[in-house]
Amino acid sequence: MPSLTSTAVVGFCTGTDPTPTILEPLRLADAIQVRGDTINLGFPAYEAAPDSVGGDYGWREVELPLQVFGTYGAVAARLSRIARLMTQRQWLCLQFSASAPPMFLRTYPTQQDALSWEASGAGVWEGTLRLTCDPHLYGPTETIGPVTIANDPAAATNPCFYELPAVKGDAPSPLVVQMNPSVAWSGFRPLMSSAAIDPAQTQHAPTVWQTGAFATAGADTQLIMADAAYSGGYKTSITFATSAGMVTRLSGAAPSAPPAAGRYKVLLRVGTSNSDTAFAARFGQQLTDLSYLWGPTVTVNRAAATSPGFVTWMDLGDFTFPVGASGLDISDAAGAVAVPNVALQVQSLGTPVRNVLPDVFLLVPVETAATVAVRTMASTFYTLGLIQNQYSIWDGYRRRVASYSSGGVLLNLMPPALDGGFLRVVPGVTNVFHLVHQTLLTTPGNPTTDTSDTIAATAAVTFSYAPRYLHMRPVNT
Amino acid sequence: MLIDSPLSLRVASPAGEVTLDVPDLTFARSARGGYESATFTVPQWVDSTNPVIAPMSRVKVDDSRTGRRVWEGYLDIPGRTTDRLAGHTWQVGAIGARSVLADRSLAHIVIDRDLSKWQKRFASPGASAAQGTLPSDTTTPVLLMQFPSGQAVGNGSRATMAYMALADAGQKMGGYGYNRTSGIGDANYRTRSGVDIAPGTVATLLVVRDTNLSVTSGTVPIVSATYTTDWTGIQDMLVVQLARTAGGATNVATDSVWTADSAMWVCARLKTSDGSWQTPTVHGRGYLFAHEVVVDALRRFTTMVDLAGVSIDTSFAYQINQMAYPDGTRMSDLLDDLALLEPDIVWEALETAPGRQHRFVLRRYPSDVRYETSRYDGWTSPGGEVDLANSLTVFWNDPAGGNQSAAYTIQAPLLDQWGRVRDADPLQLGTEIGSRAAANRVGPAVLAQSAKVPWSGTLTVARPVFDRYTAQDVMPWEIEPGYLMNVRDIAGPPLRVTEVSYSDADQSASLTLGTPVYSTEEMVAKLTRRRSSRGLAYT
Repeated sequence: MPSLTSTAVVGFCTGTDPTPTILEPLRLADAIQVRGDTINLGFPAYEAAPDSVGGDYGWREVELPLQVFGTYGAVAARLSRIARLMTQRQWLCLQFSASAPPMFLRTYPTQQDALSWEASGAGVWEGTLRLTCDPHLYGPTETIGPVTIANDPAAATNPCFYELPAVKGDAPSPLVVQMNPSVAWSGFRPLMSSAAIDPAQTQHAPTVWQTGAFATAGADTQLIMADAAYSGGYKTSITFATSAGMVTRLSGAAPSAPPAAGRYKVLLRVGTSNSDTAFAARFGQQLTDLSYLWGPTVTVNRAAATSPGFVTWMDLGDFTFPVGASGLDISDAAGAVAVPNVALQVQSLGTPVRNVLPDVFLLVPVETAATVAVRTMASTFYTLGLIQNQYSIWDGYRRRVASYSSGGVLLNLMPPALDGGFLRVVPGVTNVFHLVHQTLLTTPGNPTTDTSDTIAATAAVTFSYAPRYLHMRPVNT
Repeated sequence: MLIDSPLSLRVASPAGEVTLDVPDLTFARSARGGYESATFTVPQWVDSTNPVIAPMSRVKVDDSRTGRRVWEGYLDIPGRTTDRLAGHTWQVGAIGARSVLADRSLAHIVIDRDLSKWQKRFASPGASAAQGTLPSDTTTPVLLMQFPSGQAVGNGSRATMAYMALADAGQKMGGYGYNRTSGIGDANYRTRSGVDIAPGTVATLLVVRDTNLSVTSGTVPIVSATYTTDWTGIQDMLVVQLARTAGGATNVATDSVWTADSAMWVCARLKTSDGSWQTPTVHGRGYLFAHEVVVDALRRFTTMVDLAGVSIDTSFAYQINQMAYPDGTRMSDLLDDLALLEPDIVWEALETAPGRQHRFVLRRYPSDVRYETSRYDGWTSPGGEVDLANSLTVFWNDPAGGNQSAAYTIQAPLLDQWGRVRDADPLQLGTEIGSRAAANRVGPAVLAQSAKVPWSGTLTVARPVFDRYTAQDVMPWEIEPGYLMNVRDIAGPPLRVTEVSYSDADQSASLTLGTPVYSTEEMVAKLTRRRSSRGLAYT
């Protein structure tokens, strides 16, 4: 069991601050101490079969054998304060010595032991404070940013992604993401993900395929048409002049190969010539017999809006590169992936027929040979969403989204409808954050609102997390 | 506290949305229904009036890696428990998206050959209009309209029958057909059929087919007519009639002044997947296919399905010639009846999407294998009571309402080896879907299951499996029912995945493989329950 030094600090505190404010000390000269300066930090059980697809730590049971000194009145007052604190969730600070960094335990109301009156005649009362805690010890909250992330995969800086600096801790931590977009997110559905990537994979940027870089343009398709509203200043145009059906519009070797074998979410940024548009698209991977393995058919169906045109990111499905790769693990991470032959089919559904303008593909990792953990979340702001100078916080720890004014005041704003999991970071690997602004495929609550994705838009993003430790927090972390 | 759970659980209502962290989430999905049920417990004060975690709130389970929905449904009334040691908890159950298919109970006509639903609409004094049999063939049920011998008639004398069930169900006429037989040839009398708007008057009857009474030898004339070709209005009633239109007043000199309409069928006006009316070809065939029935029913029975995005397999080929529920049905029961007629059918009510209602899929069990796995995490194939049969009788009601039956036999080697004949409990198809064709379809199929020892079991999967359709590994919670799975270390052919139940506590899926064959008692019970639920006694 750990032994405390003479400069150790043990006490309930206000939170995980680098220099915490102690609410109630559990180690104070001539008042209260941990008996023998020895505590039992316990260890959480890992509750999963050894080779199951996931698992979970159980609670950590901590025991602090306490001795409380002084007059009856002083002891009673102290024990009463501790008992009051124990009826609520609390933070407990543990600092083993002045040279050791403080660690924190998140405690919950727990069954307690009886107080021993045996030595009360000598002014000593003894008892064991039992604490049920989160399985990991915490370090002070780390904050990263704000950083500006571009909505253009061809941007010079942070193009749809940001690589976080090294994450502290020795266990995954929920990520808190604060975002302030440069354009209003009313009727928007931003999609973000966190991918923890093993060092075996050296490329961290997501794979980007500009549509203009494909070799073969199919029916009614013209590549590389200049337009500043599209990624890299160019778009592709499908007019459906000769065929409105589900036929191949782009095909051939992709501009590059994904960095590691495995499963990727294929996003396609696509625009339309008019806001009242209905069309369907699907993505396919070519097999060795030259046939295609097609993904799901995804439909965009949008009513007329006040502004012409509509741009969104379509989620065309999850695909494994190379086709058929199975049983992947880290030993496959360093191996090169062949450049895939792929195709895009698009069908016009509406009347009148509108032009469809594919822009750029973005491949976001879902589960590859090199990923340790991926979390993806889409947030639908119906009708009224974030406007400029407001920000929302996606809190992976509290599992909620809250929105604030520029002054930090909670807004009268319905939180977005969420799909997916709150993001997280993993220490010891590279953590990459991905963001695209608009993934809605249908008309939101107010159909005349301009909800088009803007290529020049950005988002100011601040990340924070509380590092987690299984045993001890290293010094200088 | 869950750290590595790959799933996210949310409950949403107009009052807000909350993400829950629960240790014991389970959910199930079936090949006939879609999202079935879910359960979990949540710490909550027993007297809490949380407006979000409330009955009928939407429950959403997402794959945290991909952001995709893996289960969706609606909260049931939670159980609430307080225990001095365990604290306050709610035991929450949720019913899956399939429940939207049982929302409405409606009288529903698809195609109907039941003559008992016809009524005498009008008959001149002495004339008769009723359900009967052909005077020349008492085995053929008909609608018989007659001016008997000695009866005084004049121009305008009529005997009329009407089919009202469509109007009663709030539906419209799509098409009809019948065989016409007459007892005499006489140009003073006309045999007619037409459409009207119930209750209708003489003035509003639109006569569609009108010809002299005539006797033909050989092939009986077939009369048919369809919406848009022969009428374009909102008519919801079919009328057949014998009328004297010429020759003035007289006394009928013979008992042969009759017209008899047999093999009568009435088809409701049906909608297609885009909301337009079906074509005259479909309305005029005298039978329908399963996908045509489903596409139309989706528009009548629920507003909770994304009609623009339904996925419908149009390859169903069994010709449904009787399907009518004048006393009401729910779409879930209608789909169960279709499953008797199309044993490979699969349907699922699934997730919603922003701006869209529940996704609905109608398809067939494919013949190729989708999933490849092993029995590494566990396989159970329980034994049980032998319930083999090699003989079965199916009952139904004919168009005249009479009880009919047909007997079926099959080779069952395990019984045949002893020369043993064993009857399965009889099946009753009733009037809703009863016909000889349906009996010939259902009887052998049910008997085929009863003639062999069922091959099914429960496979536990706690690791990725290979999905040949997407050419990638998928997690246990991503496995979809309604496909074939090859378990490489279990002897036998690939099995159908009929249900997937997932438990997040140990992150494993329990797959029901092979069809847990209904015993004939269970099949009878299913049919009985459905009929009882519509107020029909099992006969």
